[in-house]
Amino acid sequence: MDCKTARLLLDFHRPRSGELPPEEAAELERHLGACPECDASARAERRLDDHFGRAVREVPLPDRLRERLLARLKEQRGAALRSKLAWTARGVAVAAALLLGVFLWWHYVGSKPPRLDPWGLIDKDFAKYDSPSPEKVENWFLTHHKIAMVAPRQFLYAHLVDFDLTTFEGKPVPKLVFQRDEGVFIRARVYVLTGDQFDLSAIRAALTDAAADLESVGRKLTVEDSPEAPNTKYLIIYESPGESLAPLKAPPPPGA
Amino acid sequence: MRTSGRQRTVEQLVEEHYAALYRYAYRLTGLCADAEDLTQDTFLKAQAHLGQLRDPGRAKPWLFSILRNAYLHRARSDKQERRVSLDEVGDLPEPLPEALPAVDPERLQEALNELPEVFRTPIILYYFEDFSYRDIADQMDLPIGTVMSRLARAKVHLRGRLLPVAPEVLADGPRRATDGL
Repeated sequence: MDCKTARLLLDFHRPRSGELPPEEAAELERHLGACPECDASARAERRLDDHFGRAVREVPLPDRLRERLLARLKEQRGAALRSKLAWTARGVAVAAALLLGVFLWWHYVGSKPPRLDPWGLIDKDFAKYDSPSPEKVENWFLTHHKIAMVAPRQFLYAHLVDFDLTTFEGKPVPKLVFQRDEGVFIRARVYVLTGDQFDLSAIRAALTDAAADLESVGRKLTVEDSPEAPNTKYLIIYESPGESLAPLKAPPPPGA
Repeated sequence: MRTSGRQRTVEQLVEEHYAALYRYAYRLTGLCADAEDLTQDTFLKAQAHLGQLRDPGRAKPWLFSILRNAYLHRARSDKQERRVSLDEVGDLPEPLPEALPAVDPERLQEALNELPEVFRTPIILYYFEDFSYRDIADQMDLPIGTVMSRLARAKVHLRGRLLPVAPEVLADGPRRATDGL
């Protein structure tokens, strides 16, 4: 190691900082042992560093400094805790106010029935019952219940007073009500049954007993085929003094 | 009453480092009251941000760094500072006298106070011994070479202010810090 390198490394060769790798420190020590000039320079540098270092570190501590520091830290922790509690209390108060607001809103506004809008009802009724026709009824069931049905064409739809979905043996069945009250009262409820839902092969035989029972209370029951849909039959329960559905039906075409 | 882990840790930091921090603060400011305030601020900040101390083994440089930042924050508004310029220093008054004179505490602090902070901080940390060049460079966010250069100039300033100049130096003229390199 030459003197230039040794002087450079001396800066890193302090007793407590340990910045020089052991090999370099050993090599530096060997150089100092062999070079009186560098050794003198190193000793002088270290002597002066020790002298000034002691003086710089020699600062008397104020009395009870440690106690004052600890007390102030404790005070800060207390203040932080009080602040946290205050914020928590504010949060709870805000949450309670919100809950109260929601409760009051629900109590005075939310629980009341909605204001009646007659036009909504009128529009709905008009859309369903205005100018009835088989196609309109079929479209209504498709739109509202996703059921593709074939409405009976043999009836006069001017006499259709209501139609909706009912349940029969747990299955949804479209029901149409035709009614006429011109001198005599005639009403027929038509249930649209399909072979997909029911075994229709022996429906007439199966309904014989039921038809007899109905007659005892002044009603009749009949089953009609659908000319448009072979898989569909119409079960009709009706009240008619003349025992005929003819007033509700379209006249047969000439020659039929 | 049981104390939490955080409280115990802050109190441990006080026990282990308050003396060194106070001495560092005193050497930076030169005033007992300011030094105590800075030490207090340092521990209050440490308590508030204790979660940032990931490695407990780095507590000392972390605390010193907090203290220095607090000091710099205060010093920004200090318009009364009178500092010497070290642009022209660089001479080592060698050889040293046989017996080094006792350092007068007041003159030492005056000499430190005369140094700009960028020279004062490294020389104080250097004399605290536990700080390596790397530690000082990290504290000040500087390259090691810059730290060494500033240390050399600060040392020359202190020697010039605190040591009598030897007669032979006056006769031969001063040596450069880089002589022989």
